[in-house]
Formats: sequence, structure tokens, C-alpha cells
Amino acid sequence: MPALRYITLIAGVFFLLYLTTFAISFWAYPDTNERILDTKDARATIFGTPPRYVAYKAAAIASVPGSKYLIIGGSPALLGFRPHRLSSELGAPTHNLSLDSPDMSELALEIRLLCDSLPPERLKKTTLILGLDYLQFLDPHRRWTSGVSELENELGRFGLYSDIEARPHPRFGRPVHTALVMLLRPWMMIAAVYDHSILPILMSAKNMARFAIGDPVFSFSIYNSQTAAVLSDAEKKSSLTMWRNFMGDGVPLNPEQFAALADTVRYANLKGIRLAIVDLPIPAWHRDALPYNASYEKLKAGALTGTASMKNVIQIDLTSMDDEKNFFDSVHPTDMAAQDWERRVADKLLEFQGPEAE
Amino acid sequence: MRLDSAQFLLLAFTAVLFFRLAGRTGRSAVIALASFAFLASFARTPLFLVPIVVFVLLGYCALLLASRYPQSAVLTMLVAFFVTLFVWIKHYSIISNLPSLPFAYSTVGLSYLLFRVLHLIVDVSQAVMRRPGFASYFNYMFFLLSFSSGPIQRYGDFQDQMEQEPVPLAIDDINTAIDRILLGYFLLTIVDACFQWIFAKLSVRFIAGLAMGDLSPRAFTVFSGLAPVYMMHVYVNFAAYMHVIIGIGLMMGLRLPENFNHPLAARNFFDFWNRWHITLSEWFRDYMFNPLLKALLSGPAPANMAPYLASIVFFATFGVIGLWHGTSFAFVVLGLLFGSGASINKLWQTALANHMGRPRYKALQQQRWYIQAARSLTLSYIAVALTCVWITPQTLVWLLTPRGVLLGIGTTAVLTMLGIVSGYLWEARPHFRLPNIGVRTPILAGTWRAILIFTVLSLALAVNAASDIIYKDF
Repeated sequence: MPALRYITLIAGVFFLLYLTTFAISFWAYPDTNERILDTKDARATIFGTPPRYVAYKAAAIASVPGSKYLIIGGSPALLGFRPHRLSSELGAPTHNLSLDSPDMSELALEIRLLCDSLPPERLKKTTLILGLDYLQFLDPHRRWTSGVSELENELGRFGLYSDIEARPHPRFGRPVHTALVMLLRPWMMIAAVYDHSILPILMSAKNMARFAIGDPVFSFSIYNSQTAAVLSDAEKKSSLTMWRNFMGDGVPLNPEQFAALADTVRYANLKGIRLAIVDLPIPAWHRDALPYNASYEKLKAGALTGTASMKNVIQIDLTSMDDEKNFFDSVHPTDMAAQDWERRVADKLLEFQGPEAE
Repeated sequence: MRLDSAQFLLLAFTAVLFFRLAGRTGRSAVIALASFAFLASFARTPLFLVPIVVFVLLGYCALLLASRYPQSAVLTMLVAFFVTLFVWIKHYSIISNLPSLPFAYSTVGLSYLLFRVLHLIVDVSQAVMRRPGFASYFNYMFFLLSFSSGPIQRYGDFQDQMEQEPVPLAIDDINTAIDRILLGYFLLTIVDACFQWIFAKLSVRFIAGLAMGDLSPRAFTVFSGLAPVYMMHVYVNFAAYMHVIIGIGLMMGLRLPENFNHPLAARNFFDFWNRWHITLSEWFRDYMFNPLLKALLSGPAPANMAPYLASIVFFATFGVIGLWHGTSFAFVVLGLLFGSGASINKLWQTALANHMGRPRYKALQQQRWYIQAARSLTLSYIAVALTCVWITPQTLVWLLTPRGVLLGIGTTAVLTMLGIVSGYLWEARPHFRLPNIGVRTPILAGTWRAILIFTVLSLALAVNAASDIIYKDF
């Protein structure tokens, strides 16, 4: 058999495998055209995880004209602001693109990615709602084994983005980018299966699922349950131990993360985008038992110096909602409390007169 | 451009396609264009690659000089000039007070460019070979498959293959090439990713612990795990890269030199370097060790001093090999450790041969226990020495204190013991053959390889944890 025919055979079988997997991906993860993007749904989509959902799906927000709100933060913001309800309250499409346990650098990267995907005229009609708590200001080397955030990792996965560390942007124009994301469906599906089926087995086998060990209530339950719970003293103690291990007992909060916050505020101001910084509450028993809050407030105030004079930046303080009945674990709000968060934020945002597009 | 990126594969296979289609003269143009595209991918600013390009252009000027003035004084001056230029561009810490270039620039591949340019200057000056033409020189220096991380192919070997009529691609060649590339990507994206993950997980806590004065048995245990894991990370990462580029070379019809030959089976320090980064070892043997030893032996020293002079030259050669890996103080320590390892090994061989007599010493070298012990000690020593590459400068300073040295010696001893036990267990492993799954017919073989390609690609994209080629930074 001549070499050319042999190569054609290999290419042909490869293509058949590709087509089969491509077809299976539509059966396993039917394509949907959500009007509202919500990273809470990421696991049910072919993107599998919130960072991958943001990296390969969020470009869709650019195609919708008019005002819009983008919620960005960690899992408390993910559960605390349900986008469909907020869309009704605010009268404009609201997308929740929060990530799981991000740090501020990762959120800053996400904000740049999202803002760069919007044309300037739409950017000025966009409001970013940035949910903050001290958990986002950890040393990235403690947060991620390699020191590289999950979003950065996702942006590098398929080679569709360039300049990932500084200012990530798609290598190709939107039609080509969208087509390539579609063509990559087989490997998106395989990555999702790996993340949901194989990785947890590897992790538990290696006894590395720190959340699951430390916090019996948390236990990745954020996607399943948002009902009220009264934590026992033993559960609170266990949660506090988990957070101490996660944050590093005696390890100070990372100054680079506060610098990233300051940079993000400057960036939003420069771009003319409206930014609502929401100070999220954590239960008083959690906040008062750990040593981070005082230094967090001090460093955050330093990072946000000058914010008051910025017309397009507003700060919304929800930290007084720290009663334990508002939380179903050590950080995440119950659904009732979330509705309260949403109302308060919506009221403030509707009052907020940021600079509109000309 | 990373070697595990889609861009590199696209570029490489486009080059393979056009290289195969082009005639003998067109092939040089294909290599030049592909190499230029690869080089350009590293350019972040217009000036980013200027030092590298100027270095290569100066290299050609030096070749003109060397061919015209073949005197040894000129050769010495040219070699000294390029080594100095290299040290200055790389901005070694020993010259950190000297002014550097006032713009950001890349040094990717510079170490390998130095080896190539010195090889050409020496060989042209000594009339071992004729001066290459500029186009051939450019292609040799910037050849996309070996530019960033080797192998250090000799010009004659490279040019002979470029000038030969392309050999028609046979099915066996395709299979070998695909197998090498797939093995490389599997090692890089899965096996190396595991080593890297374990290393990253352990090293952060170990370094933080040492910084806080943690010298507990746990820290010792962690270090005993970290040192071999890092060595395996380096080995698998570099070996994987070699598999990929050798495979792509085979598709082109070019045979790149092998850089590894089962280094974990090495029986002593020198054997290790004959099996690990082979082209680097051979380069140092030909252009540093042999000339230095020859110069020393031509002096007034008596003949029975030869082994001791050799141990001095080994110290110098391996010291430079260690120093070559990086620009900071850590690599001076690495050089000292490599140099000491080589000269102590040579002195041990000499002393034992003198004491026992050569026949008995040779018999001892064939003993299983001696082979296992020597192999384990060699690998453990190198694993511990490589700590210099990954440890923070502050922690390295601590490791150089008496307690740190004790930690290093203790770890080497423990790893040697474990290595001996592992060696015996490895030898005693049950041997079995994989069942023949009938991939002898071309249709089955081709189908099997297509499935493998899809599987490895899927695994690589799903795990998404490959690290860049470590040797690119050296």
C-alpha cells in the first residue's frame, strides 16, 4: 500500500471517529440558545465547568444589543444573584458569569476578557456587578497547584486565545472563533466527561478533595442545595478548620490580589464601563472566628481609594446581612437571602446614575 | 510557540508536506520559511529577537574569519568572544553589574546557538569541514525542530541529509514517526503532567516549611520524594520533546540524533551522561574535555598522572555543563556538584583499579549488587544535585549550611537504598508479552494508529496540564 493511501486511511479513520464523537456530543449535550448566561448551569452544558463556559460561551453576550448587567465573583455571587430574577428586577438582561473560588487576579482577567469582547458602544451600556469577599485575596500559589488560574488554563486549552497572561483575546474573528468552538465539540465533551467523571475519582483517590474533607456541609453542594440549614457547633468548627487550611493559618492576604482589584477599578473607569462593587456578607460566626477580615477591610479600602470620585463606580455594602440564618453553609446564601441580596442590589443599581453612552 | 500547541503541529506538518513536495533546492527554502515562522512566533516586540539574530550573523562573520585566518590564536579569540557575548546576552548573575541591552529581548535557543556556532568555528578553523554557505548556515542555526531545545546536531550530518535526494516515505517510516510523536505527546501531556503535579503539590509546602525552619522527619521525607520526582519531570519532559521532534523529522525524511538512551539504566556518573542529553555530552567531550586533556597531557606531567589530570578535566567539563543550565548562583552550585560527582567517580575508578588490579575491578563491575549500588547512587546524587534548579535562592543558601548539606547527604543515602531495593524488584518483575492484537496488515495498523491519535489528542486536551519544554529555558 503506497504511503499516500496509508496516510489517507489514517486520516479517514480519524475523521470517522471525529464525526462519531461530534454526533454523540449533540446527543449528550444538546445545543441550547440561552438568552441569559449563568455559570451555575455550566455543568449541564458541553462546557462542563464555569471557567470553560466563560472562555468559550461568554462571547455570546456581545451579540445582544442594549443595556446589560454582568455579575462576576465567586460562588457566593453565583448563588446570591440569580440572573433571571435580577433581569426582571433591573429590566435588562443580567448574566451571572461568576466562577468557583476565583481569586481577584482571575476575576480581573475575566473582566478584561468580557470587556474586550464587547464593542465600545455596548461596553458603555454594560454594568459589571463585582461581588467581593476575603476569600478572593489568597496567594495564587496556595489556591492553584501550578499558580495558574483555572480561567487562564481554559483560555490556553484549545489554542484559540493569544496573550493569555496579559490581555487575552481570540486569535480569530468572531465567525471563525464561533465555528472553531463548534468544531471542538468532541473534545469539549471529552473534557467535560473527564472533569465530571474521572477527575473526581482521581481526586478522591488521592484524598485531595479538601472541601469535602473539611466541610461536610459545603461538600460541593452549592449546585444541589440552597435551602436553609442551621449548622451545629461541630459543623461550624469543621468549616473553620477547612478555611484555615484553605487560606493558610497565619498567612497574610496577598497584596497582588488587592493590586488586581485596584487595576480593575481603574480599567473600568478608563473604559467608561459602569462598575458596582458589592461587599458580600459572610456569616458572623465565620468572619469573627478567623483572623482575615480586619486586614481584608484595610487593604480593600486602600485598593479602592479614589473610587468615590469616579462617577461610574459604586460600592454596595451587604455585609450587615451576616446572620447565620441567611446561609446554608459557611459562605453561601440561602435562596431566601439571595432574593434579599438581589432586591438590595437592584434598588441601588436603579438609583445609580452612571455615565450612559452618548 | 509551545511545542505542544496546535500552532506548532500545524506549522510542522505544513513544513513536512511542502518539504516532501519540494525538490532538493526547494527543501532549503521550505526549512528556511518554516524556521523563520517558528522564530517569529517568539517575537513579542520588534526588537525582541534582535540579539539572537545579531548573534547568528556575528557567527557567520566569525566563520569567514576562521576560514581565512585558521591560526589557533584567532580561533581562541573567536571562541572567547562568543562565550563572553553569550554570557553578556544571557546576563549571568556574575556580570549583573555590567550594563545590559536597554530593551526586553528573548534568549530562547541561545545556548544551542552557541554550541552550533562554536562547533562550526572550531571545525572550519581546524579544516575539519569547509565553511558553509550562508543559506545552509541559516537553516542549520535556526532549524525549527532543534532551534529552541536541541538536539545539538552537527552541521555535516544536517547538511548531508539536506543535500540527499529525499527517500520516499515508506509505511514503516510513517508508523515509526507516528508512534514516536504519539509517545512524545502522551509522555508530555499525561506522564509529565503527573510528575509536575506531584512536584508542584509537594514543593510549595517543602519550601515554605524550610523557610520557617521546618527540619522535621516529614520535611526530610518530602525532600526524598521531591528530588527524584523533579528529576523524572525533567527527564520525561525532555524525552517527550525529543520523541516528538524526532518523529516529525522522520516524516520529513531527516534523522535527528537521539538524545536519550535509557539514562535510568546508567551504571555510573559518566555512563549517565552518555545516556542523558547525549548530544550535549558529546559536544562537551569533543570541544572541551578532549582538547583540555590533550593540552594537559602534552605538558611535563608523568604518564601515571593521566587519571588524576582527567579527573581535573572532568571537574571542569561537568562544572561548565552544570553552569550552562542557568545564569544564577544556583547553577554555580549545580556546576560544582556535577564537577565533584564526575571527578570523585573518576578518582574512585582509578583508586579501585589500582587497589584491586584491573581484572578484579572489571569483575566487580559485573556484579549485580555493585551495578545496583552504583546505579542508585548515581541517580540519587543527580536527583539531589538538581535541587539547585528548583529551589528558591534563600532556601539554597540554607541548604549550603552544614545542616543543609547533611540533609542532602542523608537524602542521597536514603534514595540510594530505596533505589537498590527498587532495582532488585524491577529485575524480579514478571516478564510478559503484550498479546498480538493483529496490527500487521496496513489497514489494521492504520486504523489502530488513527484510534491512538484520536485517543492521545483527546487525553491531552481533556487533561490540559502539559508544561512547556524545560530545556527551552536552559
